[in-house]
Order: sequence, then structure tokens, then C-alpha cells
Amino acid sequence: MSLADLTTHLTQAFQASDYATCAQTLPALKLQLAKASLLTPDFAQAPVADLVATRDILEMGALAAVHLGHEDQLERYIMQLRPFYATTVIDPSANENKLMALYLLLLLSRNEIAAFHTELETLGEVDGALENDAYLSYPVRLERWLMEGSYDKVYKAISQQSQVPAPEFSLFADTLAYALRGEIALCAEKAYSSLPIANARSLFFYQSDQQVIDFVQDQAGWSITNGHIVFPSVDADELASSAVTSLASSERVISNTLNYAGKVESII
Amino acid sequence: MSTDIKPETPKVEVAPVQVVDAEEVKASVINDIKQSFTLLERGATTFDSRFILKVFRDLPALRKRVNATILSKIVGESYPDSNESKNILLKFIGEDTPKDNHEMEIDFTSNPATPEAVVTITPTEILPEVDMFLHLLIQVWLLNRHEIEPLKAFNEFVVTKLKTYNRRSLDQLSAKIWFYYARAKELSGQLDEIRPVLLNALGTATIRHDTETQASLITLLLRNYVVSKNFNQAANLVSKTNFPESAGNALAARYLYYLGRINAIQLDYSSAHDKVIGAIRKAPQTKLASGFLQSANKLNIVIELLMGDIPERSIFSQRELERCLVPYFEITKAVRIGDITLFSETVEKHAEKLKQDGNYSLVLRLRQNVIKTGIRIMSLAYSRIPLKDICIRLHLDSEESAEYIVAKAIRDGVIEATIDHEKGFMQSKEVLDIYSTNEPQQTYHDRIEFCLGLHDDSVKSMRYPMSLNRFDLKQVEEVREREKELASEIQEGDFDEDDDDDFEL
Repeated sequence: MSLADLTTHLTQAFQASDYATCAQTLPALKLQLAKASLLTPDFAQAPVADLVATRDILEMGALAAVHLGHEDQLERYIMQLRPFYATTVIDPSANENKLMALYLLLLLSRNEIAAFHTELETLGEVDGALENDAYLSYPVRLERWLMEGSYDKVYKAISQQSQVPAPEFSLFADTLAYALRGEIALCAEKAYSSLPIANARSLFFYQSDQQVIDFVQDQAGWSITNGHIVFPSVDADELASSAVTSLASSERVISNTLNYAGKVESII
Repeated sequence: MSTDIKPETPKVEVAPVQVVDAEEVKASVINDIKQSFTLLERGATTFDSRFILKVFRDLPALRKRVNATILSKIVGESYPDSNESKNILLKFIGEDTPKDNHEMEIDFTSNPATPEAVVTITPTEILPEVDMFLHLLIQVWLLNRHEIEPLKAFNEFVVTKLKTYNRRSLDQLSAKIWFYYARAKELSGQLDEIRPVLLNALGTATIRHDTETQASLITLLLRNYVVSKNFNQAANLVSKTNFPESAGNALAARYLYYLGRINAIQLDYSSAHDKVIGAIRKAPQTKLASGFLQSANKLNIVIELLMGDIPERSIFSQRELERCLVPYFEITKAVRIGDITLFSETVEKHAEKLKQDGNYSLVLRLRQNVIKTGIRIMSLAYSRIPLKDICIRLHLDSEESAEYIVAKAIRDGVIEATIDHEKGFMQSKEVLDIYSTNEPQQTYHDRIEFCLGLHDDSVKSMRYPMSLNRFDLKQVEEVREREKELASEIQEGDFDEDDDDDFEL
């Protein structure tokens, strides 16, 4: 099949939300694009119409990857799209902010905060884009709440359909919720000595007690007694580790002192 | 020399006293430039970069004094007629002269006169160092007059010519030439275009072990990426290149500053802090570098706040910095008190300024610090406090949020406390005595390490006169005399303060 045929085929499948067919068509299509050297084009020379077409194909690919839950593929498509977004030769795409927001969400769900901020800085060039754009502001808000610890707001934002800017975004809800519970578990471990299961249910945003019990069993060192979750005591931990550290610290003192002696020797 | 001046004197109708002054100034400037030539020659023959550095030290003063007359005269005298660069240079100098007023009018008439003047001197060949230095001088002169278009055209010519030379004594000069090359392109907004050119040049410089040019190009590329907000690429560049250790302080300071900014973006605050502090210390402490110091200090304040420290008050009361640091001072106040509403108001108020400095997104990250400070203050003041009160004091939206936030603060080690969920209060633990831990020992160790490192560095940077034993005694004395001369000149002159005025982002 030729490039044009494949493109129409993909567009049809995409419009019919048949993402599996999209995924099947895309490899062949990308091969054709690469042969036409449009995958990594020379922006000064390639015809504008071709560039726009390539960008649209890649965008469809990225969105299909989101729907199919292929995170790695989404990341790859974003990388391939980047030069198309950076150039001024073609008009900006309507999907740009949406896709970048999805990518940010992906980074957030993987807890890659450094990459998240680097990306944000690049996007922030357009004045006010981050606060005012419906798509971009969503991951930005989530990150801010996650960092300050307003976990309830985060959960509301990912679980309530009304707060999600586009249906694609809710596809990340499960991964995000999972990451969120992990964060809360880490905090709870340090902050509470014990917690009633009923309270824990609301704390971890679970619907039933059974889910809480399942969750507790996945966490190392947590146990349930008399309807309370008992967290591993920090003091016991410290006692155990202090014996190790005192040994390690005397070793460190010795090595430091030897080091100083060597240095002073070389000075004199 | 006199043949050159004659045709222009009748042209000047204004007070003749001024003319004499102008002539005197001109003579002294030409004299200075000539002196630079001797230094350059000496640098080229002895392979001692200090002579060339001395020339650069004089450059900022010189660049304010040169004009087209002087330049065309110098070019005319220095180049042999057979050298094709001569006419090109003269063209660049002369090209735009009619635009200018009175003084430039003079040199327009003097231009045709210069070749005649040369006849009397007739140099047979020109040293590459002197050649490139003249090119550099013209670059600086064009930039000073904000003639970006001619400067860009000239730059292309310079860079092509530069590539034909491969002399280590040119390293310092080529580093500077690249700087003005990139600067011109940046001023006209062609950031994308020069990247491949710079990267190519960086490759060449690396192969030739041309550390000075290498350092200059790395900083230029970093600046390019940072200005166009390509932090990913900037981070990649840093990880793929080695910044030469022997590079000059001004370059190192700039490099550290960009590195600090990249680290800060990537949330690596402690290394960002180290880098920015290094940049501030290495930067020339003169007026010309105040733009750089301002932005470095701004960044430093934000990073310190992000690390949870409160910058010292003395930073804000430095005379040159006081005015531009006002927004940062107010933000610091808000963070210190831990008042989230005050913080939001302050950020809103100074948003424009912060965006201009490129620190806006970093400052926004401070929100969580403000909350944490608020919680810390409360945990220090009360041994037990209901979550509801925390919620009210910190202007939080709900008690639920407050609980999560406090839990996170405990986990991050901001406070030592526990939460009682059923009764809904936060119970602070007793404050740990810091002297019962390893902390003082660690700090003491760090300080000793620092002192030892300082000692090592000082030893490494000590310089000895080169291979003295080869000279006989008389020459030794001569050399000493020269060293002394140079040392006093170095002491008199300021630090390498050139081109610091464009540090601001």
C-alpha cells in the first residue's frame, strides 16, 4: 500500500476509535515515512503539506498509544513529534498542548519529577500557557498538590470525570491512583503509630474494607490487629540501625583521621 | 602618521582646541593598540598566555575609545598591501561611516588616504595573532555601535579566516571571537541557526586541545539552550562534554551559573546551590559584571529558599543588588513567616519581574515550602494542636488536606511529630539535641575537607617562571624585570571584566 492509502486507512480507523487497527497500520506507515525521509525531515526543504501530514500521523499514533495504554510508545511518539512542534515552518497543531499534557501526566505517574519540571520549563515559554490552558494546567495542578501533600484534591481531580479535561486523561487515572496510594502509605507509616481500618479506608480512597486489607498485606511490615493497622515502629527501626551506624561511624572517624594525617603530612 | 592627519584638519570647522584633544586621544589609543601588538608578539613567541590575557584586560577600556579613524589607520599600517584581508577589513570599517556624525565624517575622507600612508611603513607580513586581534577589535567596535547586520557579515568572514589558522597561541583570541559571533546572532534572534556551527567548532576545538575556545563554546551553547529553554539539550550537552579545568574564571563562572540553573530545574537543589555559589565567587567583582552578579544572586536566593533555608539578610542589603532584589526579599519574607496568602499575593505582584528573570516557575515551586514552614513554626510552638486549627492558620481548604499535608511534612523530615487520626490532632515530639547525633562531626569533617581542598588548589595554581635554567644570568635578570613589570601591570589592571554586561538573561 502506498503512503496516501495507508494514511486514509489510519485516519478512518482513528476516527472510528478502532485503535487496535491504528496500531497495526502505524508500523508500515512509519516505514514509508522514513523512506520518504519525513520522519526526521529537513524543515527548510520539505513541503509544508507533507510536514503537516506527517505530524498528524504521529499525533494519531500518540493518541492511539494512549488509548491502548502503551506508555513507551507514547513517549517515543512525543520524541518524534518534538521537532514538529519546535519548528515555525508549519502552523501549530491543535493537539500539541493535549499531547504534551498527556506526556506530563505520564511522567508524573512514573514519579519522574525532574523530567516533569524540565519539560514544564520548555513549555512555559509561551506566556501564561501553563495556567490558562485547559490541558496543560491539569498536570501542573496535580503536581503542585502532590508536592504540597493535598492528596485528597489530587484524588478528586483524577477520579471525578468533570475535572478531567479530556477522556484520554482518565486513562492514566489508575496508574496515578496507584502512585498516589504509594505516597500516602509512605507518609502514613511515619505519621501514625496505628490507624483504624475504617479510617484508613477513607484515607486511602478505597470503597471497601477488604480492599484496605489487601493493600495492607502488600506493604512490608504492616499488620492488622483488632481492626487497627499497626505500622512498624520507627523507634524499633532506629534501635536496630543505631547499632550498625555506631560501628560504621567509628570506622568513618578512623578513616577520616587517617586521611587528615596523610594530608597534613603532605603539607609539611 | 602626519600624512594621514593632514587632509582632515581643514575639514573640521569647530573649535580647534577640540581637534588637538581628539588628535591626542587618537595618538594615545593607537599607541595602546600598538602596545597590545608587542604583547601579542611576545605571547606568540614565548607561548605564554599571560601576555595575551594582559591584552584582554585592556580591551574593555580600549573598546570605548576606538573609532573608525583609528581602526582604519591601524589596519592600514599593520597589513601589507598584498594581504587581501586588508581591503575587506577597510571595507567593513568604512562601509557604514557616512551614517555617523561629525567624527565619522572625518574618517570617511581619511579612508582613501590610508593606503598612501602605508607606503612609508610597508610591513612585509602580519603575525596571525595581531591579525586576529584586529578582527576582534573590529567585532567589538561594531557591537558597541549596535550595527548587528554588518557585524554578522563580518563575523562570517572572521570565522572562515579563523579556521585557516591552527596555532595554540591563538586560542584565547578565538574564544573571544566566537563569543562575539554568537552574541551577534543572539541579538538578532537566530538561536537555532548557530547551534550546528558552534557544535562543529566545539568538535574542532576539542580535537586540537584548545581549552579556552572549548570552554567559551560550551558556555555559548549552554546559554543558547537556556535562553531558548531547551533544558533537556542543555543537560545532555553538560553530560557529554568536559568543561576544561584550566579555563578562565569568567568563563568558569558563566558555566557554573548555567549548570546551577539546569540543576535547579531538575530539582537537584543542593548541587545547584554549590554551582551558583561557585559562580558568584568566581565572577569578577567589578561594576561591569554586576548584571551577572544580579542574576546569579537572584537564582541563589530562590535555590536557598527551595532548599528550605532562609538567605541571610546581608545578601539583600548589598548596595548594587539592593534594588533588583526587592521582589526576592519580599518573597523571602513571606516564606519565612509561612503565610501562604501573603506568598501568593507577593508572587502575583512581582510575576512580571520574575518571569523576566526566568525564575517564575522556580518561585512557584516554593508554595510547598511556605506550607512546610508554617507547619514547622506551629509544631515548634505547640506540643499538641488540632488539625482543624492548622487548617485555619495555614488557610488550607479542608481538614482532610491538612492531615495529608502534615503527614507529608512528617515524612519529609520537616517536623518530628505524630498524628492521632481518631482524635484529630498533631502531637510534636521533643526536639532532638543536635549534639547527640553525628551531625556536628559531619559538619566539622566537611569544613576540614574544604580547608584541605583550598590548600591543594592554591598549590596547584602556583606558577613558576618557565625553564629559567636555560637562560644565562643576564637574561634571567631581564626576564625577572619583565615579570615584575607584568605583575605590577596585572595588579593595576582589573580582573578580566570584559563582556560581562550581557550576563543578564
